[in-house]
Amino acid sequence: MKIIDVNATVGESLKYTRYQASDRLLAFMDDYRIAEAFTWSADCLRSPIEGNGRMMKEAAASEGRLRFVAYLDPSVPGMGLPEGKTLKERLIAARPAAVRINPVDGKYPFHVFYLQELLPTLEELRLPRIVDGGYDSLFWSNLPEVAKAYPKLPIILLRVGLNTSRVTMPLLKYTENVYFDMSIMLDVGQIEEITELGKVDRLLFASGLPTYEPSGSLANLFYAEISDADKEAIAHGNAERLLAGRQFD
Amino acid sequence: MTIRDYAFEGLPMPCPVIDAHTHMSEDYASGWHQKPDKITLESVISDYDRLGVNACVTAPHPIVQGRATYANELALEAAEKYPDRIYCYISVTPSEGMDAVKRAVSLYTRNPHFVGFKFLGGYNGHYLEKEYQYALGAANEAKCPVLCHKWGDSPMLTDFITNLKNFPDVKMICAHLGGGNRGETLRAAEVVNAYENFYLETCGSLYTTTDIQEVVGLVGAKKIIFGTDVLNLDPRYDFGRVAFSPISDEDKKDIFAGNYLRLLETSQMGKIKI
Repeated sequence: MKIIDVNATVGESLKYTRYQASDRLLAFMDDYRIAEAFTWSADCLRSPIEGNGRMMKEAAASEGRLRFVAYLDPSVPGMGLPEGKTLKERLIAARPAAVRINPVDGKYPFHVFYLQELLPTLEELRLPRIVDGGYDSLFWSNLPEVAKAYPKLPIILLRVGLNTSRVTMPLLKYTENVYFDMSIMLDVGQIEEITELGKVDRLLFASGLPTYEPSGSLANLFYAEISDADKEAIAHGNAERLLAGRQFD
Repeated sequence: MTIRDYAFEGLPMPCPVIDAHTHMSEDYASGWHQKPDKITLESVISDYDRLGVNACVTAPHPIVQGRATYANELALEAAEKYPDRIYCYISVTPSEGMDAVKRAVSLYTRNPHFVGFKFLGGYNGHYLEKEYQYALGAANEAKCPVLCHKWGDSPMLTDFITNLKNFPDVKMICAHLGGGNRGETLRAAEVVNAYENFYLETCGSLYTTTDIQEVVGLVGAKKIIFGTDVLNLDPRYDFGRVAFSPISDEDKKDIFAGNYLRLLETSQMGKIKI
């Protein structure tokens, strides 16, 4: 089964993890039979210039296995991306698989007000937006408003699962554009429950490499009590649909 | 085919598997959730069949609330319904008092469905309390396993060390790889290496950055016991951490069942039939 991982990281700022460089990520992907990975550089947190710049080059050299994820800091949007007059032009030039934001590290609330200079452009390009962690009560309160204000903007949440059914299920039922990495969906039968709800198209495979490793996530996928077609959707089909939906042209 | 190949095909394991850490029965407190049709024993057995889990040992969920007597009754009921698939721990909680602990020891230590004890310190007191000490005395005499909860540093690792010194014939298993995070695993590993009768159990690993391969490097495969925490946690994740790991098949066989069966060889409580 082809597997696309939507949560992989490289970067020299990674500490106490399994690797830093892209070639080692590729080795892990080989070992765990992962075909492609949405990959960003953690070096972006300090310097989007260095992180985005290096990640674009390494993704380009990976023959399609590492898909560039652009890190966007609302205070310096577009930093590290190719030159352009607007954020839209810079993103079109970079053609990322997705963009990644980190409200916790950037110390800003996840709210339409604070993201108003980013979200219209991302929605216009249908660029999947990965929100990196920090899912506290305020985040869960603000998320439905963001999702409904920008309904064509896919929002991907990472490592959500255990003890979160009371927020994930309403988000799946009542929004159209919130997606979840299923790696730690450990409420018992959660993947089956979401599938029965008809929302398996909103689940994505992720490893969390290099902080985490893929083995538990792989079991969630390969031993899910769902159809092979639904497993294929989680493994790669849903990610491919998001990639195909981007509007760069 | 290797065990890993079986896993990549989504097939049941080709070797014995014992889930040494389970809590049968539902629990919807504190954010926990189970798909409603997944809370029955039948459903758990069905899920085990798909993974290839031969047997489990359980301390049902009422132990979380300090209701050990009820947990033991539920465990026995489950084991009688599924003999050879479900085995029991004697649940112990200080809040029910010493008489309840003595009664449980008297009732269950010679019942073949019961293979050891389960302590849920942190939720229920600390391991130097007199009720735990009494149960440890009984476990020491029976030379049986005692599965002890530990999350973070609660209960404290120093209490484990005290008990390891005082009860050398207990096979003490520290749940959650020593406490659910890398730092606690590293600290617990030192104790595992210092005491022959101290083991690490695998479940609740979703937040740790330490993989099974590294744990094998820290303490050796023979000191690791497989568990999933079902029905608190979906069993697949911790199952996968072993099944998909790049460690050898021999190490996987030890972790999945061999080590636990060896613990029971010298125990005077119940035995697991595989």
